Amino acid sequence: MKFGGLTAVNNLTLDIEENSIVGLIGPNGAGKTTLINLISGIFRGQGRIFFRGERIDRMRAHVIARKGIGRTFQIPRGFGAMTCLDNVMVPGLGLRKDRDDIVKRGEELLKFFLLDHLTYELAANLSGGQKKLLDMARMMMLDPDLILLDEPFHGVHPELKNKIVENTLQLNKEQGKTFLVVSHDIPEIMKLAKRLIVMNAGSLIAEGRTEEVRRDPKVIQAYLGV
Amino acid sequence: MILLIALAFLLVEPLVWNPYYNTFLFNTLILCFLFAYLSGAWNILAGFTGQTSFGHAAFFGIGAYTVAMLWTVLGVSPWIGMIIAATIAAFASLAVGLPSLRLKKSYFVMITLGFSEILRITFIQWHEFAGGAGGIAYHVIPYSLEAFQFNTDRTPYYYIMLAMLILSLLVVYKLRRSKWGYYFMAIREDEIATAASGINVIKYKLISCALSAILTALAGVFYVQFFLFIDPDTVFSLDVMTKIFLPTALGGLGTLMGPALGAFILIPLGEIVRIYFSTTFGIQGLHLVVYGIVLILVATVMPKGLVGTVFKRSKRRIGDILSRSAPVGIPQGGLRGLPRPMSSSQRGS
Amino acid sequence: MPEETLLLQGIVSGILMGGIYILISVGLTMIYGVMDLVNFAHGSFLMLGMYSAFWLSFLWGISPYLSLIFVPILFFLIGWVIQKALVQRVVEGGYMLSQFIITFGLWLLIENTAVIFWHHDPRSVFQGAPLTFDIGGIFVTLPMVLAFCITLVLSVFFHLFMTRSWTGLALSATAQNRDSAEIVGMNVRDMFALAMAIGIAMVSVAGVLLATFFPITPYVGLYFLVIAFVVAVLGGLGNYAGAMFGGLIIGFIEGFFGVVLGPQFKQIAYLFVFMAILAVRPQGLMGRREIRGG
Repeated sequence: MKFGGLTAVNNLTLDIEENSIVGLIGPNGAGKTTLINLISGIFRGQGRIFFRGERIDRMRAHVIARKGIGRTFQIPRGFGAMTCLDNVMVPGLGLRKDRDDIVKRGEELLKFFLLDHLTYELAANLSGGQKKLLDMARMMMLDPDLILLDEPFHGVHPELKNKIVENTLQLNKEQGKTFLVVSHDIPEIMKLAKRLIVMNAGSLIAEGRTEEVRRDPKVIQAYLGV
Repeated sequence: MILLIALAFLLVEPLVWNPYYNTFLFNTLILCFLFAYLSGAWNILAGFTGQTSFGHAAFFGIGAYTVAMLWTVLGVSPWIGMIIAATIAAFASLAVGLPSLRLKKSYFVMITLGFSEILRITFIQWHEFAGGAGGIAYHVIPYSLEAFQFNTDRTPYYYIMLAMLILSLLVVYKLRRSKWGYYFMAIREDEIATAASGINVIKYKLISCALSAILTALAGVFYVQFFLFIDPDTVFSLDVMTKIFLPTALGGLGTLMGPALGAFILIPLGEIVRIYFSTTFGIQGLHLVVYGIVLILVATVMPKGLVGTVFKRSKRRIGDILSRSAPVGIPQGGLRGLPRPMSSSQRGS
Repeated sequence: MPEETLLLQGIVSGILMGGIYILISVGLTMIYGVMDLVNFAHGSFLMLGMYSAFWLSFLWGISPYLSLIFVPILFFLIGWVIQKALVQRVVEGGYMLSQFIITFGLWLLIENTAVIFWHHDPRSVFQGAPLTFDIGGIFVTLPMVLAFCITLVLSVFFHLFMTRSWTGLALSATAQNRDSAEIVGMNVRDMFALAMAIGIAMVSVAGVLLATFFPITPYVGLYFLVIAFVVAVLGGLGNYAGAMFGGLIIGFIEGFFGVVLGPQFKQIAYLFVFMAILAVRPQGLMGRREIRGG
């Protein structure tokens, strides 16, 4: 799709296999976040996006979220004037559940993301890393099957990074969730992704198993040459 | 505690003080109730959902005129007219909101103001049925509950408006902890995160808008039944519009008691200024000048309103009571406005 | 008068009025474009401009056309001061509501102070019937024609200013991307003040010109403010060239529907135009900026 005169994502074709963890890397401005925005319905481009056989590219963002695609934001978004628990509960209120169940699930999610000590703290008062975790916890309330993580490690403490990696692997293994992880953080991506997609200037330049892609000369050039 | 005392006082006032000896207090209180209610209704859309409207006078006027026209022309009871008025107001709000609520907030403010002003001009020119610039005046009839008029006995009006106010506060109180309330506030805080949470943002903005409009229209109904006269320059006026939103701006946007607090301060102040200066000096409209100054002060000095700024820190008692009036999740009152928007996650990567 | 002539008359009068709309709206749209601020006080400055022309003429016999030399300068300074003293406090990182209410409060203040001092009664600068020309069956009055011509001249100068001068380009740059402008070393705060100053100056010119043929009351503000909203949105909020086209278009629409539907429905016509623009093409004729979402 294009922004003004700039093509952010150009003729990209890719498949993501269910239950896998795929990493999406590429230099700045490569269009990675735009891709996430396109999939999650924030942007609308030309082209077709299928999720489990259903075409979602013309759907609105909230419908896509309910279909089972969750995403986080590079700069974490949240409801600052509400508590962490409230934040996590918001998506859950649309589910057909008792309020108590939703509260309980919210508390569990906060615990899973190490935020339970901040349950009644205002989201606006959280640190950057905590906001990222809250972003993830909130996303998880809808129990998405496909999870798009946009720079989850960016600006996060090393210990928290490990926690995020741990959680991701756990969710993938135990619940079969599929992940597309956008990141600049190569070491962490290595821990997570068996397959990598590399973008540069809006196009796909490499794809495949992590080890192979790492050695791909086009990829190396993209990172160094830019 | 303080609230209970205040409530008791309000309930008892007309009985203890004979209205004829203290008409000013009596009428001012009714106006306080009216604008506390109106401001509360506005607060639902602007404070909780974050969509500022400067056109609520339009819904107020629609409420008043619908009932007035149905009554004077067709003899329809105001109680029925009320339902029709509310429906019309709801549809009007949807008509205005549908194109504009999906855009930046500035557009919504502009179109609401435009809508209100255009309605005013239209009604000035609408002579058949609506009386044009001269407005509509009721024939005074004897006390009649069915006709929602109580002739010289003003007491029922007092209690009706007070009841409306209390009910509206209850509505807001329940709203805050309800699904809708959460959704509204989420929309106010971050629309994209809200959409990513599976919530249809535009739908709930419209719900909030319609709800606010309906409540506002009901107050318009009360107004015409109380004053027995309306004209376009009264109901669709800047004066009314200011009194609808200023109490909330002063009291605390997005809080429960903010609008009421603001109303009880600003309305008496305005009335005193208006009456004193117009009778003593023949100066009209000074109260609006005062309101203008208050607005500027609130904007620059106290954007969170009284509940958010003053009562947050002061004496525990008052602070507690009023902060319990804060929106869900906020121990202290006040609105966290959206900070200067960063180019949302569209660039980079 | 035969039907077509009546219609044509309406259109011509409408377009002439459109000149005034241009002057009002360019200021409004620029203030929005540079500062993201809706100036609700814009109409009251128009009103002040009108009264300036009146008092200068009434008290000292200065013709409005002469006062055009110094009134805009005065209003430029007023705009600058107001921005620096008041508006600046809420423009960056303020609460959205604060931004709305500060100019609203200013409007209340100005309009009602005017009511107190100058009363409701309409005034006019020129007494008696204006000089009227008959051009092929269409009647136009001298003041309106003069106003229109002056508007055209000013518009050309303004366009040249915005596109050829450093200051003008700086303003455009600030409007498009504030952060980049700052990084490049522009004094963004001064740009804000400049935008407001120019906007207020322009609307004061509109006021002076309007005073030559339109009744002067303290309440004109809101009426023209709404029109300015429609014009600015039609042209694309923030885009001054759009406002210029928009002004003429709205003038035309007003003139046209004023005849077709009757004068009392003119306002309904542009309410619908307003709603239609927002529904169909919210960025207006020439707008490009991102406008969706809160």
